[in-house]
Amino acid sequence: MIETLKFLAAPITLTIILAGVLSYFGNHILSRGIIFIDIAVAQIAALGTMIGLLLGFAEESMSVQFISYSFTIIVISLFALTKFQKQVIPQEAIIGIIYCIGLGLALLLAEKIPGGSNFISKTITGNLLWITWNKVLESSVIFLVIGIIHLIFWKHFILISGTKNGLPYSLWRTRSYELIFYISFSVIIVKAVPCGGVFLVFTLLIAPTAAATLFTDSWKKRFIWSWIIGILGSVLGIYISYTLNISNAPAIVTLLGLVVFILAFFKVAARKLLINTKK
Amino acid sequence: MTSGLDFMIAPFIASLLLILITSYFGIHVIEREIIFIDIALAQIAALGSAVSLVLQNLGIGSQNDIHDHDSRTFLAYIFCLLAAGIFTILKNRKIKIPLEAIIGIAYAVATTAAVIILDKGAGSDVHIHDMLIGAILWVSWHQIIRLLIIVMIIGGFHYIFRNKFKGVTLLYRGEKSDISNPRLWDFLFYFTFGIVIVEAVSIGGILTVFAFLIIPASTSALFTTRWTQRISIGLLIGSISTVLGLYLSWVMDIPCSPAIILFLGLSLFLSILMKTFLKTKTN
Amino acid sequence: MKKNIRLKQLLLKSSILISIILMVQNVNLDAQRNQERNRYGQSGNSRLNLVCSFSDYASIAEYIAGDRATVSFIAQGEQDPHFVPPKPSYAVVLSQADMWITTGLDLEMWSATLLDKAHNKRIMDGETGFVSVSDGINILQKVEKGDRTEGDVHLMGNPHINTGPVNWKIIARNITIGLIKVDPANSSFYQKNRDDFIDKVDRALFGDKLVDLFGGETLTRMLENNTLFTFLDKPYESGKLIDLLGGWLKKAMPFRGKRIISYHKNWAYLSNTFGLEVVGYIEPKPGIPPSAKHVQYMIEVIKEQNIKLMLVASYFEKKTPMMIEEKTGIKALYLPLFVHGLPGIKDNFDLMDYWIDQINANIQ
Repeated sequence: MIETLKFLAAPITLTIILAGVLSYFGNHILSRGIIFIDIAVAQIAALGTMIGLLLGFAEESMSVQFISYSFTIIVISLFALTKFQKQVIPQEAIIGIIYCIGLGLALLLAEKIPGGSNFISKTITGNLLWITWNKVLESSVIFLVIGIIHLIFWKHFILISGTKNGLPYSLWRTRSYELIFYISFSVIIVKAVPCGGVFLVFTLLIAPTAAATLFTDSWKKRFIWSWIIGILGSVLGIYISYTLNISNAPAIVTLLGLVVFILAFFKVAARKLLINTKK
Repeated sequence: MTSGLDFMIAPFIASLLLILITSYFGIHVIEREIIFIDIALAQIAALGSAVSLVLQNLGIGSQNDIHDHDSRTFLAYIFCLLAAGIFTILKNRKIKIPLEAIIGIAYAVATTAAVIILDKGAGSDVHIHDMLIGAILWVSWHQIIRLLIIVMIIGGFHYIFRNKFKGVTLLYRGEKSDISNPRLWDFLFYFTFGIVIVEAVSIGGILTVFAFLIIPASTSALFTTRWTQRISIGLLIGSISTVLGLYLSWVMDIPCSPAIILFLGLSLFLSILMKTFLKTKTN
Repeated sequence: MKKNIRLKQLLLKSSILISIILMVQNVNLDAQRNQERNRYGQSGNSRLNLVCSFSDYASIAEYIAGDRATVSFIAQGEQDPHFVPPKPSYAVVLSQADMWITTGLDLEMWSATLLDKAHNKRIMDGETGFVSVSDGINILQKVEKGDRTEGDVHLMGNPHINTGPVNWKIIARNITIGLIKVDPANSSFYQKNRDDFIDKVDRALFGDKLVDLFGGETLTRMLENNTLFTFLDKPYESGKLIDLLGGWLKKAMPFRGKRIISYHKNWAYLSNTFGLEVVGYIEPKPGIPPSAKHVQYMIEVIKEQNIKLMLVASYFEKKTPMMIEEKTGIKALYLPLFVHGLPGIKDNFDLMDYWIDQINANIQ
């Protein structure tokens, strides 16, 4: 038992940190309604990696990672600049288009690179279980830096995320905040996806905050509840994955997903019951 | 080159049929802002196939190889039905979760559940990969006829009741609409959409269908809000991109799905340029 | 106003269409080049058209068919053999094929669609043009009938037969049988080439001296029965028989008996022939991530048994192997799985040389 805990200690720690960071971002993402942005970012990052490999650099080298990050930041900056006073094409659609074209290009390039099919988002699974304390430290430092940035600008981000129609500031001022938000977001995603896999990151982003939204409206409460749900869900998920002998990412994803659905149905049912008893 | 031409006829017709139905549905999808629904429904249908595969392995149900594709499709439709039900129920004013989030979570759960089920229940590596690109270059006339029938039935259904469906979509945008029983039409929308997706994806692959849904409808949104015009623009852009894409894929020997998507993206880009150009002109 | 926009749009798009078509005419050459890249020999009308799934089979086919056939293959040397995305040229190539040479187990699942749509009756399963090279090979890791709970990916046994040199001889035999059926006039030509090829493999595997003394067939039988090394321990002239061992088996002696792990089950036949003991796999099922228990088990095994080397086929992503290296101190050795997986590896002999040299260089 002790051996198992020692083995699982690093993965659990990273998952908890990820759950915390991602549920924070998730609240913003949910309010803005650009749910699939992390999948798009992951695909663009993979495309960036492929470009790096095509240019001849070795896999997992610093140059390839640099190219991947830069490419992602460029694309996401372009996206940030597509915010308008009146959105003719909804931002989620733009995300869809970016994802679609990114995946298309990746498919075309996949042939030219040995092992190219690895970079096409199938079930890009992470390697959380092989994580070393070194890597946990590395990631925490990056998350801390991003956390400080968000501490400085938190008011602006919340205001922009909360504005459904129109812009709270002038066009270019809003866009500048958007740039900071999205660039910091992409850095988190590009760091998190190789560790946890695309689906785990996606679920940790959306599910806890979705569950929290069911019951409360205030930002503060949502943050706290999504943190709690996210962290509890991850730890429980890892425990289940170990006892049932299934991979950890699917376990956490299924668990958190089911929790959201059950809570949502519960709420609908409770309302119906309430209405019926009132009659 | 003649062999190239009759090689391309079947894929071209299949693509046209796909574009016909997706230009229409795409507008709904964009207006309701449920962009990734086709990926989610395709994955849920795949989960249905995976479950049917496992059931087959466990010895339950028909063991006949010929019925293999049909029994898998049957379960795929059932799962779509379930999903349609879930989405309809959860599209509730009191549930403040945006529907896209529900769709996203359903997608993630469906994918990982499929992985777990296949891991535990089935022996062989299922073709999850094939679904991404699709094999439209190798579409058979049998598949095309099947697609044609479905497009006609569901297209016809949607044409007859178009006002009802448009009405429900308006509700999504928060606008007023006087449809009696919007829940029913919402459910019918998802269910018919699911059937179309299952057929379309089995021919064209998830990525192609996704692109056909989103890109023409987004491009047409730049120019007009009237549905008939948007469908026509969508058809125009779709057909031209398909022709160019198929040609390029043949000539450069690349998979045709990315080639078509590239041209769709190009047309969007050109349309944006054109719109800015026109705007500055009228200023 | 709106009509104006639509008209302008139409004009713009038509002009773009025309210019692209003109541009693309130049690009037509690319297609020709692509369709010839995967070929050996020269195109000719009286030649047979052999299409193989993998480059390894194509290389063997070329030895046997010589200049009587044009040989091509579909999966690239550095591609994942489980997942080959379809391209237009494949269907064309298959529709003109006289023979389709494939493993015959459940490795090339992607070929089913291709064969279906190629509409080439000659190469369908059961016809004379369909060659399943695994017939008669001693398949490792077959799964017992009722045992699906293990969830083994390949139910009919390990299909990566190209890593065992003994299997090349059987592959050659099967290809020859197919060639004789399709082109009986040249039977003796194919048979001679086959015998030459088999002899070449024997000499490369055992070394000239032993082959001259006992003949390749006997030695192979002993190798498969695991009685070869006991036999070689017998005294001969001033020393033992084993002093006469040459070829790959001799080169592989330094790592005979060593324990390793491999990322996936690609290397079963290689390790079986050269005495490597594979104690575990990181990802036995492609696409399905290993569970925590499995990962913990692997880490324990690596530490307890002091495993120093992990074989990874080069089509895998390097990220996870590198993390495993960091976590356990093991060394990951990336090897191409097929001929042409690296530039300079032109046939199976080059490939085996490369594998043995690399393993020797990296094992401790």
